Amino acid sequence: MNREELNKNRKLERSEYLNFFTRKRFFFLKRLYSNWLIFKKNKMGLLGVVLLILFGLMALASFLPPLINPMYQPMIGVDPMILGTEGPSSTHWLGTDFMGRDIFSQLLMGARIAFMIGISAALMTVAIGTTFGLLAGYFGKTVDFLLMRFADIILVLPDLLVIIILSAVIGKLSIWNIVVVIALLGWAGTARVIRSQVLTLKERPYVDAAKLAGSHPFGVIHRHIVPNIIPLSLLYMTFRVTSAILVEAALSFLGFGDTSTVSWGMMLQWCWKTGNMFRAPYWLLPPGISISLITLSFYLIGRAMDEIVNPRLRER
Amino acid sequence: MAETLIKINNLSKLYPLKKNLFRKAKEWLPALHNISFDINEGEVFGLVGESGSGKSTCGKILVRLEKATSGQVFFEGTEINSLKGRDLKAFRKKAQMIFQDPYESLNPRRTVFDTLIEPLNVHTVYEELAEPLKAQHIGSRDYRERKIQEVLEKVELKPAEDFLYRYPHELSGGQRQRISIARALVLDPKFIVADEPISMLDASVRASFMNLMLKLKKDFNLTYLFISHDLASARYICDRLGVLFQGEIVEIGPTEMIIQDPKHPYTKMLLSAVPVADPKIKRKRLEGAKMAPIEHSTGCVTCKFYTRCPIASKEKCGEGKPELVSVEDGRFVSCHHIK
Amino acid sequence: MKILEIKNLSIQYKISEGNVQAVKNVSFDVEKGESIGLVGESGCGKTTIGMAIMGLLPQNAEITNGQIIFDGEDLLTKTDEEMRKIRWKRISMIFQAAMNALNPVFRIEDQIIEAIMTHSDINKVDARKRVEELYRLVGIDPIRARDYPHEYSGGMRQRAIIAMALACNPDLIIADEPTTALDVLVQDQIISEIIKLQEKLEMTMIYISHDISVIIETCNMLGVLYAGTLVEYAPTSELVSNPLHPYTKGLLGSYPSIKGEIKKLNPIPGEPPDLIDPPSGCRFHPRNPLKEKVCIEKEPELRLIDDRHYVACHLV
Repeated sequence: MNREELNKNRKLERSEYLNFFTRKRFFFLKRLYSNWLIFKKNKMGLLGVVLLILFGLMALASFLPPLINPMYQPMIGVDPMILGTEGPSSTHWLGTDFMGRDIFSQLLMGARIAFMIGISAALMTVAIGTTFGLLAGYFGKTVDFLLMRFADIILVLPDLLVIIILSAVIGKLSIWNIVVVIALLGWAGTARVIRSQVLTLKERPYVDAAKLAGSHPFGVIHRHIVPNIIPLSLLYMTFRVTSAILVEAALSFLGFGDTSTVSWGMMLQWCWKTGNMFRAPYWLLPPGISISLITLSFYLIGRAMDEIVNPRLRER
Repeated sequence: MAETLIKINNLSKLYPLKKNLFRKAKEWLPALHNISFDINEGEVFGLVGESGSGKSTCGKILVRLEKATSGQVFFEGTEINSLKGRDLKAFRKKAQMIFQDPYESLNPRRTVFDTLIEPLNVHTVYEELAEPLKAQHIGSRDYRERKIQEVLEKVELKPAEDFLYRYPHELSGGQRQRISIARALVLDPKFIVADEPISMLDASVRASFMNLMLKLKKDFNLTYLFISHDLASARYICDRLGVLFQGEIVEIGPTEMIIQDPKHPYTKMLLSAVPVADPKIKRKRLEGAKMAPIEHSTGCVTCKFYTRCPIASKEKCGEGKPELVSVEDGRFVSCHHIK
Repeated sequence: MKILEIKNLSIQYKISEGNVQAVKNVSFDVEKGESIGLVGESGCGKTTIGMAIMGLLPQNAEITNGQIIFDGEDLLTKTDEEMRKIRWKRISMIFQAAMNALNPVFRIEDQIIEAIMTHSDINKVDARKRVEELYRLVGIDPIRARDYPHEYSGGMRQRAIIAMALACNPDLIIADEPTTALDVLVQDQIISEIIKLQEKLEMTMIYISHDISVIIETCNMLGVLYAGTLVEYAPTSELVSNPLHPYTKGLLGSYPSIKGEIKKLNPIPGEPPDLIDPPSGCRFHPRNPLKEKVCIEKEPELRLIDDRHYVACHLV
């Protein structure tokens, strides 16, 4: 059979390929939209989204203050007019800390850091957890046994304690070190959940059919298992974000964080260490409330997404 | 005389029940025990029995979705339990399977096109490597697309373009089951195992699906293993039947002969229990007795059906498990009362 | 004496894609002591009718028209409280996949006793005696009443459900596919049990199924439903020997049988219609090769043709 004959028999035109791809995109967007409709019905989820947008704007706005006036730099900005900590004023909306640095710009910077830490740690955690859960669930037997026992060990380790010990042993931990360690300690829960989902998926007839077609196990995993696992992974990511932010805040507050970054936990640490906990509410409250609210927002979003991922939870 | 396509010898499949600490099995569940039968080319062989009789397991072993614990399965003379790698992949092209649940047989996130092209993508790569056209990639892609359109037309989903880019949730149960068969046909197999393909379909859809299966068999010289618990549909579509009871074959033979003149008491019982859509016929179910099992120090000495058998007797049935003996041309029964 | 009269019942379900016209203009009468079979394919509305009689329609269902007159009273005008009194005591139901209706953490006896005591003023001791009676009636050893559901086989669970349905001596029992998930031998036992009970207790029964052979064996009147409409209603032997509606003829010709000759099955071409936008006029016309103009325009009425033989077809 030569090329001309094949081209003659060609029934699918180029335009139909395009149709095919746009159809796929269209379906993806349509699914996204119908999921959004379900999400919308959940008032808590909407609250979570609103808060998230608020903090997102804060994180984006964190670039502005230093550009407006160098004294607004969160780490090194000094207001020549002010010595020590002072309450809110027209130039410093939330006041200044013990070094005369603007608290509001610190708060904005903290939002940026919180997003960075939260999302990168969560991404890493879920990547590791999903991979391990997939392998354990799909291949079963020895692989499952080894991975799950390993996960059990990791699961029972107390995160905070381990990181504290690590920082005592290794010395100062940078923010990225912390992110990596959070991921290395936090993947076990996700792995278990993903594994149980994989166990149910693997019994579906279409997986058997793929094996019958002669597909390689990784091909089967890639085509059939992973797409049905991704929503669950994303869901767990939102929970891991809250966890990561809280761990980092706790670490910083206790004095084991990265002192060269301004995170909300760090702000609390400075407030406490300089004895201003009860004297400067304008310093204490903003970071504390922000931590709570951003954690809440991710959690609410996660719960609302749970209704999408797990249709049985939906109300009629 | 049709050739034997598949020869099954003493097939057994055991599932581990209890495992000790090192995951070594202590107790086994015999899903299939010493199954032996042949399937001829071009025929529809029906495997009937109740749930738990092992029919699905047998089907899966015949297509190497599971491996037998002992015994041999010969497909065109080659033993399939020992196949590996390239040979196993080549075997996959010849033996396929369709499943019971139309809603779970297709990946909900993949279009009909994706589902049908997967087997081709996995295999065509090897074939087209030999062709000079592979270098341009056009040949392979065209071959695959043509094949998909062909196969959709074979299963009477016309026009093919309408169905290519649909998702499973846009199709009805009957259409999904047709896509399942299309997926099985895309590699031009010789043998298809149909595991209760119609039990989840509506009545009229069942009938058209069975007609489709028969038409495909005729047009493409297929051989089927039709697994079912519904004797009426098995009678309609199957040339020969094998009756399974708790993992053992109790009767094999041409369908009509088994239906009109069943020899094994279990077969008789099954047939008497099928409801009949004719108000004039008063059906009487064959009652099973409640016999106490004969205990023996060496283990079970009767056939598995003894405790429910209407014609069980201590004298005749206490001689160990009965063998499958030939009673007529092509008919085999395993029962102590029939020698 | 007519115990149940359904007049012009129309029900629709509200779903996100639109309104599903699940039942349209269904009318039939049930005499005391009869057993009526409702047969049809999936989506024909048979379960919906059963649920409507019991007053157990889901929240998104709306009864747009009609009356369900039970023993002289219209059930659709009753309040929830009144329906609760009627349910189980005068009308009870054996659900589809009823085996899953048993609570796995309670003993079966307790569950039946609870049902009895909720609906009648019997004390616990008498209720227990009643359970024994019921078990003997359905053919289970009364000692097994103290077991948990997982200790029962599928067939036994189904009998337990039947016992529960009979507990308060209802006038009418609705059995919705009671044997679908069971093996042939067990199904047969259950069917003969049901026939025996019906004769003995002189119960009126509505038997819903998609399997016409089972219905023909158990019921003396047969109603054929298609896409929410009742197309034919006649005594069983009459319907089988002389089907008038083209759908009935097609349906009878789609079932293979183990008796008689093997005839080629001629199934009805096409698919059941989408009930959100059903065909105009007679809902069967798209699949009827003999249709005429009036079939597309006008909905057929259920007319009496012969002795209790009703058909809804323009061409008869």
